[in-house]
Amino acid sequence: MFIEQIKVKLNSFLTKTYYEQVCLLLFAFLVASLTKSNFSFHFISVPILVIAISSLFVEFNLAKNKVFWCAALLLMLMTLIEDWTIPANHDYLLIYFIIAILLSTSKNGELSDRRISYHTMCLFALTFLLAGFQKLLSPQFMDGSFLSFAFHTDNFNSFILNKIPFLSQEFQENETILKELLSTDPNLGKIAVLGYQLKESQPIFKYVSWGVVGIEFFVGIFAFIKMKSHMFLWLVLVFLVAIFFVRPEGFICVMLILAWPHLPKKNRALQYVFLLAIVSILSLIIMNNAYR
Amino acid sequence: MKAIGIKLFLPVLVLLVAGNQYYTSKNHNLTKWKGGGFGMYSEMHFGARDIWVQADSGFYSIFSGSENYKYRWYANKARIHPNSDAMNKLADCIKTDQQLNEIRLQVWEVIFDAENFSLTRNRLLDDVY
Repeated sequence: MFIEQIKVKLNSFLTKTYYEQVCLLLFAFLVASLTKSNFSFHFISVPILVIAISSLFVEFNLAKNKVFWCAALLLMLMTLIEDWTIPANHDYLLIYFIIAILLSTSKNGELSDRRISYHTMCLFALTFLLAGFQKLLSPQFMDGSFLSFAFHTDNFNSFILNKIPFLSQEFQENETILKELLSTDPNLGKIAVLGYQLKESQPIFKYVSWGVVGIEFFVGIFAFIKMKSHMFLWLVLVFLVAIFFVRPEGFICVMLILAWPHLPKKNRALQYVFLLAIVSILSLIIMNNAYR
Repeated sequence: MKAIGIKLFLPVLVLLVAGNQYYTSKNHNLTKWKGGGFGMYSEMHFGARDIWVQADSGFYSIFSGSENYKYRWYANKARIHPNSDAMNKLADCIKTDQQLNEIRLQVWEVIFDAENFSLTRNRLLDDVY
């Protein structure tokens, strides 16, 4: 009975146009994410925020409320204009996503759906391809030293590995070694050696690095060719959730929302699982258990 | 024409920003973690970069000690993108605060050798301001 009621409520969301659904999902992400961000205070930000919030009282239908999206875009652009090197890459992704929303507005619902589908496909594919290129062109990534460093100094293990008491202690010791190195005069040319070492691991990290680049290129290229394939969307979901477990970053949620308009309307199972993943990540961001 | 413009605007914008970010990181030491090029997790985080100050009071890391916290905003900007503008602003901030005529700033980054698990440091910049 209870599950049936949830299904009815969910169906009222799932029967909206893709454009309306994406607007709602991105709105939820913006609320969860931007309230956790450190906006530098300047006199223009507050009036923009006032306009954005007020516009919701006038027109709550986000698919029709261009004022809200323009205000959100301006607010994010303010930080870029102040210094384009400070905002993180996922802030840029949010800016592109809001531009995609604005470029897809139309009185014709079908046209809006087609446009949002095209723009999200481009953004999704380009994000993966550019991430792949950056890694391919980075010697310290391709030789496995970046992943090895991240593993040995506890950059990637906050969710799983450092919950094991032994490993937690070992990672902490390595962090201490790193801190000690950073506190000594660099001109002395000191060399520090990590205490905990996964022996003979460099080839493993190298192959994992190549694998990551390969997957990113595969996902990026396949997204351009066949974004709507059921199998591809399941694989994307598994890949993104796996990344989230390694490093709980909010941009995973943005990538899931970018894939949303490509989910087949009739495949409710896929839609429910995507929605569950999106809502779970949003909850973890709000509870400070995931980065925004 | 309008339809083509709508289709091309976003991909062209993304590629232009990413191209600019890649060029700046390759030639002017901008960290790949910032600037819109999607280079996160392709190199060490900019937290592994450090700025050392040589002044009358000694030689110290700008990120150490609570007394240096007031410089943190400019110091963080300088380690993300150690260009002349950012370095000059940081130097001016320290010189004004400590009433100095001249200081020396060095930017260092950590290098990790995965074969023998060793950590060393590489100097990115060394200048007097």
